[in-house]
Amino acid sequence: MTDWLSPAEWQAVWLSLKVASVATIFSLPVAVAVAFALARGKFYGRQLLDWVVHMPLILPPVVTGFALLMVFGRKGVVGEFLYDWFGITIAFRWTGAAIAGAIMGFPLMVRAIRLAVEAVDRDLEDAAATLGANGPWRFILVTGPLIAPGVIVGAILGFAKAMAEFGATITFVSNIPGETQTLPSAIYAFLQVPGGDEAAMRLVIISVVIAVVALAISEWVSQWAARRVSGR
Amino acid sequence: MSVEVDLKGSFGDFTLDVSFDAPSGCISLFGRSGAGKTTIAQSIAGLRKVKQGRIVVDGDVLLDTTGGANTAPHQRNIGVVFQEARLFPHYDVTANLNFASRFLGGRTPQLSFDETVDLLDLQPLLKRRPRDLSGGEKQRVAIGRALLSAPRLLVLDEPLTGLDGARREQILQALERLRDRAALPMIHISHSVSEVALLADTLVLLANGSVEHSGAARDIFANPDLAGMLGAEEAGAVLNGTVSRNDNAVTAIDVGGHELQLGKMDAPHGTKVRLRIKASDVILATAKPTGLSAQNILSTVVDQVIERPDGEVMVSLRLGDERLLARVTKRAAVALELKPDTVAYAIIKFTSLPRAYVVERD
Repeated sequence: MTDWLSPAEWQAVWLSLKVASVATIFSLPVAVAVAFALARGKFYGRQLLDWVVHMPLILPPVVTGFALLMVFGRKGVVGEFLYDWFGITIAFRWTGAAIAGAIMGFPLMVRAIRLAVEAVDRDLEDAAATLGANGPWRFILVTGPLIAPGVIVGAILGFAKAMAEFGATITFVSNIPGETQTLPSAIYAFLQVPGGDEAAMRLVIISVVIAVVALAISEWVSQWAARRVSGR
Repeated sequence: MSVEVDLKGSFGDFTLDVSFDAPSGCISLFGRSGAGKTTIAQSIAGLRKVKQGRIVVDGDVLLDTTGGANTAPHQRNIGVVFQEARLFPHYDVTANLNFASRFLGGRTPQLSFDETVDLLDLQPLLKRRPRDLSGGEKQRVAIGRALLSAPRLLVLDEPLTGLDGARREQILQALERLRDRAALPMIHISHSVSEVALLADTLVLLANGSVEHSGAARDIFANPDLAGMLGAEEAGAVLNGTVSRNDNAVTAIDVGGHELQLGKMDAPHGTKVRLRIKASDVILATAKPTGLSAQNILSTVVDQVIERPDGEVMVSLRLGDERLLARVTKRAAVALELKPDTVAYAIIKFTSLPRAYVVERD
C-alpha cells in the first residue's frame, strides 16, 4: 500500500485517521452528556443548547471555521489565553483540525445517542433502583448497555464526519501538508496542480472505502443492537 | 414487622389522602383503577415524589416530609413486582434473577437462588431472554428477581393482571407459600376480589384516592355493610378450615367444628385451607331441610341482616368463630323472618365450591 501511495498521500491518510480518532475520542463523552441533557434534562435554555449543537449541521462550514478562528485563533478569546498561559497554539495545527472535525461531527453524534437515550424505558431504571442499584450502577448495568448501540453508531458517524470535514478545517487550520492536510484537503490540493488528478483519484477511492465501511459498520451495529436490546 | 403509610398530595389530576397501618402478613390494597393504588405502591418504593407523607416499615422511617427523611429507593430494601414485570431485556433470566445479588451487602435472601427457582418453577426458563417469555413466565421471573434482593417488604402491583386462570392460580399459590413459608410481609395491590380473598390478612379498601375502610380481611369480607364495596356479585365470606377427611371423590374441610364437603383435593389430612364462599352461592332455610341434593347444610346463627339500596338483603351468619355471608331477596328475608340470633340453615351446593376458591396452606 505504501508503494501505491506516495509519502505525501500516505501522510494525508494517516493524518486524517489521527485527526478523526482524536476528535471522536474526546467529543464522545461530551456528546453522551449533551444527549442526556437534551433527552432528559429539564433546565432553562435546553432549547438553546439544542440549537447550538445543531448549528454546525446547518451553517456553511466556512462560517463554523471562521467562528473557530475567532475563538481559538492566536487573537481569539480562548486561543490567546491558551497561548499566553500554556504556549499552546491550536490554529494551523493538527489539533485544530481535530477540533474542527469534532465540532462538525458533534450534531450527528448527539442525534444518534439522543435517540438511544429517549428509547430507554425509564421504568427499567426504577426497577433497578428497587433492586438496590444506585445511580452509577443503574447506568453501568441498565442504561449504559441499552444505549451502547446508539453510542457506537454515533461514534462511527462522528468519526466519518471528522474524516470528511473540509470547509471548516481549511478555514480554521489551512492546508499544511503533514500538519493539517487531511484527506479532503489533500484531494483539493492535488486538484489545484496540473497532473494531480491521479493522486486525487487514489485518495477519493480511499475516502469512498472508508465511508462505505463506516456506514456498513454502523448499519450492522444498529441491527445487532435492535436484536440485543429487544432480547433476541 | 409492621407497615405504616400516610400520604397526602395531588398527583396529576387526582388527590390522594390515605392513611393505614398494618401488622405483619399480607396487606391488600383493593380498589378500582384510578383509586390511587399504584401511586401508593410507587410512593412506598420511593419512585414517586411525595409532598406530604410518612412511611414507616418495620420501625424504620423511610419518608417523613415534616422531618426531612426520605430514603433513596435503592436503600429502601423494598422489593417491587410491577404490573408489567419490567425485566431487563438485555439480560437472560438467570442474570435478571441475580441482578440484586451484587447489592445485598451481607443480607441473605429469605430463599436461596435454587429455592426461588424451585418455588416459582423457573428451571426451564433460566437461559431464556425476557422477550421469549409469556406474560405469566415474565411475572414469575419478576417475583423471583424481587425475592432475591432480600426485601423486608414485597410490594406487588397487580401482579396477575392479564394472566389466564391457570397461570393466575399457580402464581397465587406461589405467593401464598411465600407469605407463609418465607414469612415475607407483602403489600398486594389488586382489583380482583378472589385474589384479595386468598392473600389478604389486612384489607384496605380504596376509592377516589382515600381509604374507605381498613381492617382484618376476614372481618371485612364477613361484614354485610361493606359487601357493596366489593360488588354484590363478588361479596362473600372467607373461611379458614382444615382438611379433615379425604376419601373417594370427596374432601371434607373442618370449619369451626362444621364439615364442608367439596370435590377431591390433592391435599393431605391437616392441610389448612382458605375458602371463599360467595354470598350469592348460599341459600338460607329456617328449618333443617331434608331430601336435598346439596351436601353442605350448616346450622348457623343469624348475626346481622342488612338491607342494601338495591333491595337485596345481606345476611351475616355465625358458624363457630367463623362468619358466612348470604345474599337473599328482600321478599325472602321477610318471609323467613330472619332476625339476629335466630337459627338459620345455610345450604351450599357442592359445586359452588369450585377448586379455585381453595388454596392449600401448610
